[in-house]
Amino acid sequence: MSNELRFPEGGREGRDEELARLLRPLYAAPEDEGYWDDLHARVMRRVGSGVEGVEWWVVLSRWSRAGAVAAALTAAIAGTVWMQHRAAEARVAYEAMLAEPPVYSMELAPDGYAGTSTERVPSPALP
Amino acid sequence: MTDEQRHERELVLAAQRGDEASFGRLVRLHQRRAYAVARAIVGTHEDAEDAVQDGFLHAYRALDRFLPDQAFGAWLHRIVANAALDLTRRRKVRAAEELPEGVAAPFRDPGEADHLRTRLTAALQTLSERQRSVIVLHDVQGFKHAEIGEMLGIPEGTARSDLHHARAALRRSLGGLRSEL
Repeated sequence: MSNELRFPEGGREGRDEELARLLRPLYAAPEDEGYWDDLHARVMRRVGSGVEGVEWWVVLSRWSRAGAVAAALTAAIAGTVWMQHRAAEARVAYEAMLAEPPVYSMELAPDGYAGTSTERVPSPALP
Repeated sequence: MTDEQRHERELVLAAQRGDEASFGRLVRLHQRRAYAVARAIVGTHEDAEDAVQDGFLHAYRALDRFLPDQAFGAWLHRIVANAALDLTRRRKVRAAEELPEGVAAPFRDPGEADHLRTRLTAALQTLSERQRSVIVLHDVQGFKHAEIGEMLGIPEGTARSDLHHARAALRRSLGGLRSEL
């Protein structure tokens, strides 16, 4: 008689009981009821909180979304600051223009005509 | 329809209306079988736990797409199997570092000799992941070929063929084991 295990095919749907007996311990489920209570509680906690397993692409996606929002905020703030700066510059320049009168030096021209040092308009010839 | 099926259908309908407690009852009814499905596919106890939790969460979110006249168990097993297959793909590298091809030590010491477990583990490593899943789902967990095909997303004939080849390979690997037991 052979010492080898004999593995019956078990029919088309039947189990191979010999193999099943050998494999079952490798795939044994926990028997402790407390374990199943705990697993149930963990499942229900996740269902209740709607927590998904966090994948790397989800994390990256969240980061990229957060990054995009941060970049948009930064751009908006920078734009606002720039606009305010430009408005302030324009206001200062305008106020400076109103406050300072133009400096003209008046002098009598040697030919008897009055005019500015920068502008001299000849008088029409006398009759 | 049996009383059990009627009761399960009521739980499903209530869960679909948003009753979390009814979904909790469904989890309690199906978690052991869901674990068996996941364990057959992922190999390790820890990954099976993760796959079961992922599977139940996916099922909860997809409840509105479930037709109550279907078998809830079959629908759930398909979802858990998908979660397990997904986990296997993502953890392949890690599994290879721990035990080749994800065959792990059992959760509890079954009382078998260590060398027997080593031989079995080595024999299982000669199988492809799918063949291993098929033989465990069929011979250990007692699922039918059609159910296995549906869970793993393969034709029933492929499940039969995988089972045949897996058994043959294990017989070759474990042929001389009887004298050692």
